[in-house]
Amino acid sequence: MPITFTPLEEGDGLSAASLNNRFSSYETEVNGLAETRVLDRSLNNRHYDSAIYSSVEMNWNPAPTVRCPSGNGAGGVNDHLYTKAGRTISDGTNVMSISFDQHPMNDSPTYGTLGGMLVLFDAHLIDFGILGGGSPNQYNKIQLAGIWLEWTPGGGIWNQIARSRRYLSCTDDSGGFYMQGTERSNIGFRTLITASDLGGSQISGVRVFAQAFETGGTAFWTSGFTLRECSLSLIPFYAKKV
Amino acid sequence: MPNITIPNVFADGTTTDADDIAENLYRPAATPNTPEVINGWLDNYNFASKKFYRRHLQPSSHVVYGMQGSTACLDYPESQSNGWRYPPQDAGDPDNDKIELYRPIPGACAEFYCDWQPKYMLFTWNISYANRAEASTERVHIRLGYTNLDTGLQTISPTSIVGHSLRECPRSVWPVGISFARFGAYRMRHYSGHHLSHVSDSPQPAAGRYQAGLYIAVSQPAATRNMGRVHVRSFRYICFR
Repeated sequence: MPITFTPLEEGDGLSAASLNNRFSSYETEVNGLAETRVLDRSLNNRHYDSAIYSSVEMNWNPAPTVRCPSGNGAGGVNDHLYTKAGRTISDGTNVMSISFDQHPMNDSPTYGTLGGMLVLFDAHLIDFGILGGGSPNQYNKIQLAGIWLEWTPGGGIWNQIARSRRYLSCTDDSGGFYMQGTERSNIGFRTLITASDLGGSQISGVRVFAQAFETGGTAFWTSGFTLRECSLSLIPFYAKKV
Repeated sequence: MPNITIPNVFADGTTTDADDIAENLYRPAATPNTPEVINGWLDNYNFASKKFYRRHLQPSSHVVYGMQGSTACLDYPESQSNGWRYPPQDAGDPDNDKIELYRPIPGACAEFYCDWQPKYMLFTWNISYANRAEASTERVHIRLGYTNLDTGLQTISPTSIVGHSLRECPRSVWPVGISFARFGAYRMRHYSGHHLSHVSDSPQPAAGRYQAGLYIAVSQPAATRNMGRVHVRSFRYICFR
């Protein structure tokens, strides 16, 4: 409540209780400021440390600050070769996934509401086609490359985010790679993981999943592609409860 | 604790002391235990709800951002790259890939000022480009570079390159022996990329003026002429405090 006083008039008696009340009114107000006592646009980065935790709640806890630049091409780091046998992108350092402490979307004694996670992924796909073997007529089929984003609540469970699915296709009647090493197709997506994606679960990791498909032909030959110059970044927006 | 406890309480029948009255109103030596606390000592403990809201924050006080873009067609003959060769850093010359051989791409560059140390700096871009290339040594490289003009720290240099941002323009997307027009639509490539710089990185993001953008280098083959072409591009930066 705002502080208001009845004006003192000459000749009025001033009791000790009245005097004490005037001071205690200040005490009460200063010790319990309502948010309406703060002017709009009156606070800045001196008062609030980070926009990453851009929740409406005050006080915060360091959020997961994970990034994954990795995956150089001409910069000198390994390509990320995918084959059917491997199923997942692997390069020994697992640069295509990001793991972090569990963060629930809903309120909890530890964490505030997680507003969302901005995920950015970029890669180039090369050497797309049959990896070897067979005669030319057995290449007469379509190869698909599928790439999508997955998140995990932990425990080895990975859930797909359907809207992040990307497909590329090629046919190859002559053998060899349809897309040579220098003929790259750029894959990039930006998405925001929100509470509706998680269904109330916690989230403790994000990864990019890739898979190769063959849609026909007289024989199944191993197809595949190489991902290179990959980058995956994640920015969570949340705040810790007071 | 900026919560205050008024120091003196008065009782009926006693004479009030002027110093006690004054101390209840203002006594810097007792800060923060008098109303003097409102002179800049308030903090979250003074908020009844422990909350404030987005509307209380000054716009751009926690985020600095911007975007550039252009659709102009730009040509980069190999002479602009002053002898850059493919593959980079070959022929016993480690300086062959140095930043001085790259050229900034107008419409894919930005200059901005951030007066606080960013916790993250996010760069994202989209660009469409092509290459004349027919010979295997006719290449075009595009990569991100950014520099803090106040600290002088560069993230693109012979020894510190934003490696994952590098893209190489394809030599050809058609089998050898099939000819298509140089710079034809089939040779266009779109490149969507991003880079997230974190406060723990080296060099560490710092407050200051920044130049950031995409750079291009066109190789100089031994026996032919080469040229790169940039069509549509856009570049965005977001600094998070």
